[in-house]
Amino acid sequence: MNQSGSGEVTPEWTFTDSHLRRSTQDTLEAAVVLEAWGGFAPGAAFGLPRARPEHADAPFAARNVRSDPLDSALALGDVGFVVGILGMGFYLSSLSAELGARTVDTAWRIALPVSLAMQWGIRRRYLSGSDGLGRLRNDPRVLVLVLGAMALCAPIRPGGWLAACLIGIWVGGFVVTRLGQGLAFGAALLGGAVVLAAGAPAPLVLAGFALIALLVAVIGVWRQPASDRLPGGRERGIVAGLIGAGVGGVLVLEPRFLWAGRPALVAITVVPALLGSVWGGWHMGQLWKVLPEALVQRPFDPAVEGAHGGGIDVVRGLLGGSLVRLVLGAAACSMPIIAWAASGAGPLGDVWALLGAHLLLGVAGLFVSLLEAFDRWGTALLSVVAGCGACEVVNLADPGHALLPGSRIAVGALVIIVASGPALLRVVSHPARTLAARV
Amino acid sequence: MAPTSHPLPVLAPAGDSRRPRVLLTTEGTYPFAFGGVSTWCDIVLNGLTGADFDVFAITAGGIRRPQVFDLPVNAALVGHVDLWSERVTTRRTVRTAKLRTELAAELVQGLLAWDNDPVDVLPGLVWCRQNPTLVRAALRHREAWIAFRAALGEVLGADADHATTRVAPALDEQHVCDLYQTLCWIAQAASAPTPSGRAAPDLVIVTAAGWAAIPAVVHQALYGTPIVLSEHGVYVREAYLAAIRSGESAGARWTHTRVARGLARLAYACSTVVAPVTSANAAWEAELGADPAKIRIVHNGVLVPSRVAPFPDEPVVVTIGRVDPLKDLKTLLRAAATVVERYPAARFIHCGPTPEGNERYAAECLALRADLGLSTTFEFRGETDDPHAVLAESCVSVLSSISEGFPISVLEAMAAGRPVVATAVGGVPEALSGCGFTVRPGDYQALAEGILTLLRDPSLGAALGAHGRHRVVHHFGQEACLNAYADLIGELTGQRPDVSLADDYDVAVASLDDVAPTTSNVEPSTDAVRRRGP
Repeated sequence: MNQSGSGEVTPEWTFTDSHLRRSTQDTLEAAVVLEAWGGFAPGAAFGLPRARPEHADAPFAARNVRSDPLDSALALGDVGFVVGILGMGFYLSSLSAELGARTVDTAWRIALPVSLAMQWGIRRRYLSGSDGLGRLRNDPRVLVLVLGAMALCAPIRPGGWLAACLIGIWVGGFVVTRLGQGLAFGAALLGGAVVLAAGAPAPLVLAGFALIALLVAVIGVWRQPASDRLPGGRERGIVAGLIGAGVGGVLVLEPRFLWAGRPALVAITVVPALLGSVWGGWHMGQLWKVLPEALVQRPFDPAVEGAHGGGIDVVRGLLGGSLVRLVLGAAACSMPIIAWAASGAGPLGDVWALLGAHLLLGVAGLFVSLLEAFDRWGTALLSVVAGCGACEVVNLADPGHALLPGSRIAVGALVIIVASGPALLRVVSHPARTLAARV
Repeated sequence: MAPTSHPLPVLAPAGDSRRPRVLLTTEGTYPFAFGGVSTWCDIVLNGLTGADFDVFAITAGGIRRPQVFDLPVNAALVGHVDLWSERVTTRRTVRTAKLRTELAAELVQGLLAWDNDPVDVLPGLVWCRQNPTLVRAALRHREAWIAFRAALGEVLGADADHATTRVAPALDEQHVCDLYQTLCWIAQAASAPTPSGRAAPDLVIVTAAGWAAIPAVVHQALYGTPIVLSEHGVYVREAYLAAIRSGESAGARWTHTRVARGLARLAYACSTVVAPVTSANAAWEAELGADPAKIRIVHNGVLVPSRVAPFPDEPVVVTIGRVDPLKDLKTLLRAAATVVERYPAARFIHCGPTPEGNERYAAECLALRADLGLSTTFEFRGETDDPHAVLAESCVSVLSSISEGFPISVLEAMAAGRPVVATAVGGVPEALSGCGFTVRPGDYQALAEGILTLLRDPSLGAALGAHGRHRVVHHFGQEACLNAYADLIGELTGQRPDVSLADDYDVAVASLDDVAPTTSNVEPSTDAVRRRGP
């Protein structure tokens, strides 16, 4: 029962509590209820005696936060896409034989950073949120951008046309994966390796795949319901693209990228790190669901957790879990490759070096992608620039390629990790603040 | 502590023949959405042809929004802040000023504390405007977060100490994060540039005592430009109504309503003139700190059609307004069911859009319509761009809202010569005043009685309609509204702008005698309740 300050029952407040089925928040809410549902004239309720609410301080009760389950089709698609990358690794031998190693090497070096830049940029600007493909649908300029990049690359000699095809396949395939068709796409790319091995002309196969990837992507996106949400900021998309390009840059600045007549080995050794990254990425992707869930469980107390505001254990757990998954996933997938090399079929030392380098690059990629997602894009960008610079320094210091293959990648990745790690640790040490100031 | 009145600006020198330049700030309305406030903006911009308008729009949600109003030649869109979008600027510059790490704490204390002076936040908001590239860095700073939490703790503690007037809610950390993000957006809105230099406005008109006031008060603090706050609905009242129907936790309700209250108090404190559309709003404005001496009521005005369409043979009841819980369409549907039960020939037509976010409410209304067996007798027509044509089909116009300012839909019905049955909320009793029936909000039986009375007695409906038309022409025509604003602009800037009326306005006035009321002593019964206890 509500009572006025003098201890008398105030029927108006009883009415408002009854109407709201809870304690009235304050005198303004009481006035609103009395006007809207009690028939009081505007302002008439302001003069009513004040009342003491039933519960001056309601007991804390954790709320529920809705969270979406992991989309298994998309998760499987990610695996499919990685399998497709592996399939493309098998293209390399056929392509090198038909087009020459230098042509293939140049094409790969151009296409990889360009494709990663576009993938990161598209993801940042359009694909955040459940209606991401609908946002992408609204902006046909993305297709123009991809085709423009392909057109710019095509005249480069040697291998420009091949780079253009690879860009089409990788960027188109990225979108196809987001459409949930990644597994089918990966299988098709694997099939392409068989076709190539059977003697089909490489230019035709690559151009065909690029066309199919882009067509499937365009048709699939076109069939999505349009979103009424605006895309993210252009600047953020460009920065994200540059960070992606930087990660790709570390990979292609390795001078013996497709070296020693064993180009497929590079693709094979990159797959474990990719799969580990996918696994770790899925885990980390829960952050924006798990963190709010953790925060609603914690009553606000300004005297406690003043610096980070709660959720620190959750975020550290997620980051640690992601790293463990990345490493474990990569290690598990590396086993068959090591066993294959140990059997004498491949250079074991080189395989170890490449697997380790790619794993480090996977960790570096996770770090900078998290920083970018936390809106610390400046640090992320500087880190990848520093990583690319370190690769170049090693190149200058080791003109004779005395170091193990993948050593530049490892150095570049380590520099990225060292440069971005402290910033990332700072961010995850105050997750609530990071979430709150994410504007 | 009572809010501090902001010093009045110095008027521009008289005799300056330059056209007055007005900055118009809007929130979720003109020129991106239809509605009463947008209609008012459109009328003012098109009618005050002697002034130049710069429109500064604030929207939310990162939604793709085409302009639904074409700006007249004397107006331009000069600013658009989209809150809670992903399109926030990523500008970074070399740090040239000390970070204001106390910014968030200042905003909490100034806006959320029950008794603090809201004007205390002005230095912080001005700092945002002067250092837009440092705002994010300041709010991300560890010290800012700690100071904010301490300030919030103090505000909650003060609420707990005054439990006779308010409840201190049990916030969780997610509420705290949400509040901090809201404050970040307030700082972003404050940092947005407004026209300055040669394009500087002589006056700012703010169309809602909320977010739309932020760029205005910052501009005023920098340049001393006078502000006219044109309040249509009562911002705080509508924020509370939204919180009540949201079903959110106590903490979320508290943060949302406190921010709205803080922004409204800031707007009232800084406004040179508070111009509500009805005297009903003035009580709220005074309660929230507006100096009564600054309050000047300027009623909405509508164009009057040149002639009254004949009443149709069919007993059609029309309601015009968006599909929104504030319009309480469920009460209207229940009233319609009662009417149809007792007067089976009656038909109902609702015209109005379903704004984004109200889809669930619209679905509930459709379900209730089906449950009440009104699928064939109650038509939801959706948006209309010709309310006069819809009103011409009707015998009675109805409004069932639980909150209103001075509703244009009621004025349009009166101008069309239609009798009105409406809930006695906001300025509705002031508008109708003997030209229709008013009932208690939520009382569907009284609403049905009013409708039935008019359907069964067409002569009474015609008489009330004629009386209402007469009242609109003499008190609530566009001419009166536009002249009142021209006068205000003239007083505050020294340059009274010319007013242009729609071509057919004179025709409407000239033909008024054709529809003079059949009786001048219509005193309809009213069920409006004054200070009646529950």
